[in-house]
Amino acid sequence: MSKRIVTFGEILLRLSPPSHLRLTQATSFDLYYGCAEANVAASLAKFGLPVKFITAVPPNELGESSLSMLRSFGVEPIAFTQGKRLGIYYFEQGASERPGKVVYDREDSSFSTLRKGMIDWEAIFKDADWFHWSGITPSLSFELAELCKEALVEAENRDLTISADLNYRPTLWKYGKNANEIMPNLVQHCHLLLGGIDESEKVLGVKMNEGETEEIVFANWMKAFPKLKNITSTRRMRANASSNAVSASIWNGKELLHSREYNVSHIIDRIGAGDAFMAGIIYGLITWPENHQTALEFAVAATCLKHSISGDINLVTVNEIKALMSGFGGGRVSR
Amino acid sequence: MAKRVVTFGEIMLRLAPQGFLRFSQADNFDVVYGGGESNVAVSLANYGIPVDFVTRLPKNDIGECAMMEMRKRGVGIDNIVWGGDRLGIYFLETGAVSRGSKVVYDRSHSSMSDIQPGMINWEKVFEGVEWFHWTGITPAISQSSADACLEAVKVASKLGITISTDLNYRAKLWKFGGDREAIMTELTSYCDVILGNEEDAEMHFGIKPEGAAVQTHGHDVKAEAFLSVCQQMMEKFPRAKKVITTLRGSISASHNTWAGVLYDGKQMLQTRQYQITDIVDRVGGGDSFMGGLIYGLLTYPDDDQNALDFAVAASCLKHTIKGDANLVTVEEVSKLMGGDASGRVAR
Repeated sequence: MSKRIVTFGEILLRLSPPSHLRLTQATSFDLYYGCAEANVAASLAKFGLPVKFITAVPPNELGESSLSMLRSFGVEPIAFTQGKRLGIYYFEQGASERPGKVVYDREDSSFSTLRKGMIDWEAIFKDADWFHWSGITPSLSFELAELCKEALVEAENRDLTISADLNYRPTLWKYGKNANEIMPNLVQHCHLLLGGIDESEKVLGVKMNEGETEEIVFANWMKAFPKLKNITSTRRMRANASSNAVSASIWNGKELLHSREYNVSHIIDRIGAGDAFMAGIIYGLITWPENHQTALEFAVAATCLKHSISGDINLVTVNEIKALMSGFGGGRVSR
Repeated sequence: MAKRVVTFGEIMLRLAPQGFLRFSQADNFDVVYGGGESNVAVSLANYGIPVDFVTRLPKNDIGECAMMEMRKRGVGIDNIVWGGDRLGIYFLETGAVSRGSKVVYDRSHSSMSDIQPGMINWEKVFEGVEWFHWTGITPAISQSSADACLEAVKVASKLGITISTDLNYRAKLWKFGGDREAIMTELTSYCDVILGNEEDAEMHFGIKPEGAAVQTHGHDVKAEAFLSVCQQMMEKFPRAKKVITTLRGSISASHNTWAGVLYDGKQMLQTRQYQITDIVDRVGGGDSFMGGLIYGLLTYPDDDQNALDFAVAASCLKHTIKGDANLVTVEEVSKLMGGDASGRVAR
């Protein structure tokens, strides 16, 4: 039986100038809907898993359109229709040495009006196996951090597998708490974590000494959060806005596995690459529970393909990822 | 001597699905920057009147874009103040035939709505200025912007500057709980020139035509009915020298009739009625009227009929232009006023 997944978070309207125009040159914006947890949901739905996405949208055409988009990929959105506006972010594509640029305009969004006690987690989780959240939600407000906690406690009570992407965005933590005052209390419920060692102190409050390897740092995370079974991390090397070398690793408490490295040389859109990886590793660990190397290779191939796709969401199928994994990376036309 | 004008209000990012697509069909939005008062400023700049637009913009790329649009059109931007979090947005779905256009506002907590009195040095802004224009939208967005507007109007009044307003009633605004009628009454009491459409006077001040129902659907908009509205407005606002009403007959979203009346306390002037049969974009129609009217009153101080005719012809042309602003020249408006409505290619 397929594992049934629930993700929880905000969906944003993304406005992007076409191709590589700067924001100040644009006479039109391409329109996408997405954000971390929604992207993970859509990606998993594309892989054929049953996914619900819990969110809140305003009672207007933009809120409706964001849900229609998710439905079109096979996600079942469960949306509270409340508040006044859909959060927005403007995204300008970078190129070569000019980095991409995000301008957030997400304050007072409908999602930010959600509170503890509004969501019937029991009903949502009663036919679910997996719960995924990310560090974006608790970064937005103390109330949303509390709501995350509420969800996590209920998910744990029901023995769901819990995964998180730390998704540390320093510009979002504005409500007077540091990430490391909030996140440890949430991460302690998790079984699978996506994060990088540079987030150790800032996000998890786990002290890191200079020169410590990934193995040592991840072993320390597991000591601090004993429910963790797997910690995974992505790596961008030789990076500029157009070209990255992408690889990943996973730590299972005993050994650190490394993936192959892909040279992503002509990036179309890197937004959502981490979410594509997250969805890939969730699918991978569900599909190959005894073979973490395969799960990891699947996730890296998934994120590699995401870089070739416009928009936030990784619109690829399992077969396309498997083709890349098995060496068909030449980009030949498939006929 | 150049007659300098200042307009004050909010400029927004307008996001519209292309052509006649509905919101739910769009995968991109046309980008336009505009707002009631900035549209008037652009009109005046096109007519060669030196004009300054005053607003508050966020210090990010989107605020920068709004400023660049003003600069592009030749509008002065030196008195814009920078701060706050965001540029207000409105989403526009363009209607056609029996499907009306639809606006979704997303302008709460914009930089302009968070403006406070004292942020703008009005004494300095008004140096060498002859005319100040504001609209009923600014007090409708927040109490503090209503307060800032009152501050501006008081300084302008003290300096003897001509003050105009477009009443611009918007049912979807006025959310902050202020006493709309009291706020608008105080602000309007400083005005020399008051523009409204068929329903603004009723919605703001409860002033209705006597002995005739306001007819806004269909083509039969009776100019005579508005004489009593203008008279009542003048009674309520004794400083007003001219009260003007635009008369839009909405036969459909694609076909409107368009005319105007001006009352100066003694007589009521009327214009011819234009048939606008294939509307391209009617947003900013009233603003283009106001821009034409200010230009006309400044240029023909002793010929209100000419000023009014210019305003109606200018805004008639606006309905043919995509975007908020009326991108036409004095010559083009004069040609239409002179009776050449053939739409032939000018070669």
